[in-house]
Amino acid sequence: MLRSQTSTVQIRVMENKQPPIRVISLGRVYRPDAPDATHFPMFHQMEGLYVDTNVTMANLKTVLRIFATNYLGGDVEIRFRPSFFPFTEPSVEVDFYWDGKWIEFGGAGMVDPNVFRAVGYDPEKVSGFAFGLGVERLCMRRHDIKDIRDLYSGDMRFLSQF
Amino acid sequence: MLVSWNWLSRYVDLSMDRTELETRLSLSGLNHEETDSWKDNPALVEGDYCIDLEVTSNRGDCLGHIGVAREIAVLFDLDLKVPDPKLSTSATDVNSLLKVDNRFAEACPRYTARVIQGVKVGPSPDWLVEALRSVFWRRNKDQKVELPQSVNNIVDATNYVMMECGQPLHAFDYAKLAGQQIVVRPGQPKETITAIDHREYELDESTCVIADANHACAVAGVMGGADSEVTESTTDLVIEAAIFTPLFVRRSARALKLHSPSSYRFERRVDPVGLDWASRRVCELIVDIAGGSVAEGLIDTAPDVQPNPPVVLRLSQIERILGIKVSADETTRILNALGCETKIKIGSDEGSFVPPTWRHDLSREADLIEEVARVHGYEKIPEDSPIPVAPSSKRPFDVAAEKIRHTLTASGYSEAMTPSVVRKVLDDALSVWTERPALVTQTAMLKGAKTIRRSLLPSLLEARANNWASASIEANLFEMAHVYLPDQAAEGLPEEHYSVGIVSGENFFVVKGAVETLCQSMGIGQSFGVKPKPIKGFVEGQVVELTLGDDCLGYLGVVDPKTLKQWKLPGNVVVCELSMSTLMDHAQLVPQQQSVSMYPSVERDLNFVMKESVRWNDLESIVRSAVGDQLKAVTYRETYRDAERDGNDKKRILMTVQLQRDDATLSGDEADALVQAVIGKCKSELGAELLG
Repeated sequence: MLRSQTSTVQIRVMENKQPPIRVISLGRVYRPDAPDATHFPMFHQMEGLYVDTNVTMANLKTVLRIFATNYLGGDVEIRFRPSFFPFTEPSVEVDFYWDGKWIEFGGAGMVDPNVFRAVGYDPEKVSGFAFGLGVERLCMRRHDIKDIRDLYSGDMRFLSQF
Repeated sequence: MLVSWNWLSRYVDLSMDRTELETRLSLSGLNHEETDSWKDNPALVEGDYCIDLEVTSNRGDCLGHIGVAREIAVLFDLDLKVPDPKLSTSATDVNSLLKVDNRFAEACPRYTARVIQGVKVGPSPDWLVEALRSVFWRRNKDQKVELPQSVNNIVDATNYVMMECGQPLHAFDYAKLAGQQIVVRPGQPKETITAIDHREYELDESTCVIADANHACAVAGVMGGADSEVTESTTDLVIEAAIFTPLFVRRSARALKLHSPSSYRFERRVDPVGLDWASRRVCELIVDIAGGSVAEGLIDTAPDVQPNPPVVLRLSQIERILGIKVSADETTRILNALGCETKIKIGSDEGSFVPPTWRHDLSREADLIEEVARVHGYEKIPEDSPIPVAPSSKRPFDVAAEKIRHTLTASGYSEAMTPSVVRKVLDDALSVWTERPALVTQTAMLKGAKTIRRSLLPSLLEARANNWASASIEANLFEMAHVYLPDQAAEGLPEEHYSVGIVSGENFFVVKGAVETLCQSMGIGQSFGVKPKPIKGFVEGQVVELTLGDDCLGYLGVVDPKTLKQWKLPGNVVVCELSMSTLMDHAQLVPQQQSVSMYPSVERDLNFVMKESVRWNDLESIVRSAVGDQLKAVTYRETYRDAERDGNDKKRILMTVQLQRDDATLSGDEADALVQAVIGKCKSELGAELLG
């Protein structure tokens, strides 16, 4: 109910369908984070999953780059940095550059072969990528919002600007 | 993980630019957080830098300087210089001095011990104090740097080696171990230990303890005991180097609220082979700085460590996953430098490698591909491979949400988004859908907020109150979000409903009008029904249930000033909460054209006097039923009250009816007949009299 990510959607789709699969799932998620300017225990996530016969990391990078360029603007620098997630291998985190700092806005990676085995796909035949992006962080970058808590304040001086 | 630039330079040549190194580390998996310079941080000696790296939970091997130095060596193709500890041992056999009995192999797969006799405990040499200071400093709340206290040369040496290779070590005072033995066992009920922080902790069977013949001397992997700690008077030492299983260490550290650098490392797994290196290294160091002699031999409960099984890697598989080719030479160089031994050299496609014992995260081909990818560099993977995508359209829900958003913002409401988990007192203030108590979370989401909300209205009232308190703004707000209605069975899952909540400072009828406009914009043809329904927290008689057919659409009412008191909200506040699913069930989201009559229409004003209790929606539906198809519109104009002329408990309502035929011009006589039908039905059904 108060889920920490929307990945369950991906599993349900894979259990009921054969590749190719393209899914986007959006939703409210909850994490035990102490609130500060860039963290809030409730936020929104946008997850994507693509499984097909010839999916590579180049596809993943291309899709995220296209998204970043279109949503944040062509002049926004982004980078892919190795990380660790249990369901992807290799895993990366995606950062954008803002105010002299790299800010993480999502995690991504190539779907771990164990995930494919668990849903009955053959990892030798299919490959895929998955990503999960933080909607708030992206929205903050786009609108130059400095404090994530403003989004949930209901403060008219904030709301009336949009 | 804090690493010191000077310290790292003992294992690898750091002639590259520091910021370049930091970026390369970030881009290969050790994310660079920040760097402190000796110029600003008193914990660092001249020329030193302290680099903060984020180590993911799969990379326990990078929780020591050598591990980080290895990464640097791989990235810059440099040699890694790992010290080779040399021990000159005494004639005394360690087995004649100490017995180790491991009765808890599940929590402790391997326990090793050495004994050093005749040490002189004292202050640590400057280089050791400086090294530990460079990585154990802390920044307090005022951003001031707090320096760590050097304990003594023995304890400092164990900490140094831990920060060197990532293997936690512990030194016991040999003289204080009863029976000259170490027993690794589960804690006993009611057993307690005074730890080196001089506080008492209660143990239980799920804790792994290191005990002597009589009592617990340490919580395995978490913290040592005060009774056996090394003091000025200590001369003989037992050096523990062991593996403790992550689950047990995490459980104990959590239960005792004792998270230490040592527990942190065991939780991320240590090198099962490397622990002997760490033991020899710390003994060498202690003899070097505190004197003494190391007893011959090693007590080891599990000397046979199985090497990792070889992993097959195919170049074709690298290309299939990454989308680029990486040569056999580069692949082999990366893996070898990371410590993977070549078992079968890569031929036309396939090779096999034995991952090093310190890398618990490498057991499959996918793991090796990731190693090659992250060192080779993700920036080398091109971004010119778009994927085939299918066009899609909005779900009906999204279309509906857009219409609601559009209509309500056009009506002057601002969309708010408030947390789903609220304080209990807030949730209790108004609950329109259910009287069953709300569900609660175990941990508070925000301070004091554990209740999963049953209605959006309290949150919106609070947002309105905050606006009033901070800037005297009368906020008219709406929100679309889930509410959570508890199931009848206590253990059942709640029903999650999408609701539209509205809070407004305008009067009841204006808000009702906004809801009518909302329904029209969603193509809901019928007008909603209104039924009085008393609900706690509203003004009596001024709250209604709205219905569409047999379905409950929602609730609309004036909030009781007593309820508003908790927010110190002044004035009249009207709230409304609607069910999204009811709206959706009755909506016609794609508007369908209705034919328009080409013949002129006739309008007549009708002024009725009737009982105060007659509701407009009853009056309207009776007028409609009296005429049928030829009634094109019935419009409310105004209400007028005159007790002297009409009597008490009476009101006058002025309305306009619009009449029209689709197939011909409506004649005056036909119109009169229809109006008579209206008048007749209003009189017979509602007792309403037409005024002349």
